[in-house]
Amino acid sequence: MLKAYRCKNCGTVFRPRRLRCINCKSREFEEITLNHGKLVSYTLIYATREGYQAPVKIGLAEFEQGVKFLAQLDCENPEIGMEVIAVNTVNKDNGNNLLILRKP
Amino acid sequence: MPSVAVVGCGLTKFGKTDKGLIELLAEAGLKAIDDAGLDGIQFDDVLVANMASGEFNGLSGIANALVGELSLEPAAAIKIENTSGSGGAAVYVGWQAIASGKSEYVLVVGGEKMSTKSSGETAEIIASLTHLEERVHGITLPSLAALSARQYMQFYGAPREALAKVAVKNHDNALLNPLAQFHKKITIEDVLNSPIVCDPLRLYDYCPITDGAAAVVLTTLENAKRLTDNPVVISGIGFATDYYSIQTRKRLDEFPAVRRAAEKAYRMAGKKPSDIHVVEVHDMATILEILQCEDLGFFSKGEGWKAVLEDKTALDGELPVNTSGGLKAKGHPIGATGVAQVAEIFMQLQERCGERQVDAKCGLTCNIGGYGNGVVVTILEVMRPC
Ligand SMILES: [Zn+2]
Repeated sequence: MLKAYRCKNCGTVFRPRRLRCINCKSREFEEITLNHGKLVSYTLIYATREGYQAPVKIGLAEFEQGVKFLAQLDCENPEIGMEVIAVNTVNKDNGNNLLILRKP
Repeated sequence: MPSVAVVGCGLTKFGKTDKGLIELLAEAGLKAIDDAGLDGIQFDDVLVANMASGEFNGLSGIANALVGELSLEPAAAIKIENTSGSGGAAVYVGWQAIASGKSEYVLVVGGEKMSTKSSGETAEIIASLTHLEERVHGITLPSLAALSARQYMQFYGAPREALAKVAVKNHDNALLNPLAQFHKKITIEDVLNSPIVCDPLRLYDYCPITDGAAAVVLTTLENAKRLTDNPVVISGIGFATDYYSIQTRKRLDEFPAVRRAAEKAYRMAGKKPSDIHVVEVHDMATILEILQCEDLGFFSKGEGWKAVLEDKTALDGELPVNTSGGLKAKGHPIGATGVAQVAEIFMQLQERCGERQVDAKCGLTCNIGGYGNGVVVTILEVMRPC
């Protein structure tokens, strides 16, 4: 599940987490879940870092309330504007759990 | 508050070299001291801009090492790190030291020795500057530029060729810079046929891995007038940050921190974009030169790519951009870059650029740390006697 944080003081929603609100610097938030995203941009990395297999597909998606998520993208023919969701997977490169972008 | 002047500069050859980091820093520093004619002067501060001497070279304490090499004891010695904006940050701190009245002579030296590592290891070292929640996905700095490029081209209808033209232009300029890493003319076809690094950007869209160092000497305008007939002052300087995590930003085809740093520098100098005659921007990738030229106010948002195709930013255009060859073709030894940019504008204003000389009395540098995080914009002006 993709989480974001809503400021209890001013209502601003943001992610990733920080200690103080991005807008009013208040310190109290509630977690909300984001469900529907649209792809804003993407790239296929061929010059990868050590330990990653090319091509690494990266997507940037905009979810509810304009909140964005930058993550690996598991999809064959990505297009800007297409609908995406965030799903939990096991990263093939290092075995870690990773929240990634995928078609619904 | 004293006005701050640049009175000397020095650069090593950029490229791959057998010289070590301290050797490179010392070479550039000594050249700058000699260029300023200040061999006998006791410097107050030695500021060394560098990102990753620990990771690339297994070295810490490099500012102290430089003081030792150049017998600058007992000057204050500080390493300043703002990733690829380290050089700009060091100039910013040097400016503050003199403007405050605390220091009279400051040596700013930036350098990086990167060829010690493979390209995969280098990508890993540089990616350490990204937000952990983004880093775990395997992103690289070049991949962020690719995300920007795709969003920009889609949104503003910019053709791929316009981005390639930035590389062609900067390679042309570097042909006229003896210290540049590349002395090779390239064509738009060469760029578009080079290997894909991060789709849609290719090898020739990106700056190379570079060893090198650059230095400038800062002092008061009072002192500068005694040292030279045409002193160059830092009339404006601004530093601004943006959200550390990329996904927190509104868009990737704009750099709000560039706009904010520029606003601060323009306001301080009493200048507007149309007053600037020559510019050095942070073209880590071709798209970045276009985005910065827009965010610095030289062209409207979404129009920067047209200026490139119309040769407005060429050496003989209305606003020459990256006369040095830029990061793209001069090279990008990370910590050196922001200092090298100031050195290039300083030399342009003192009419010392030889074949790449342009007609300019006021110039600007834009040095970016991280991916648009910590941006330093500097405005330099020549003070010719009336
Ligand atoms: Zn708030």
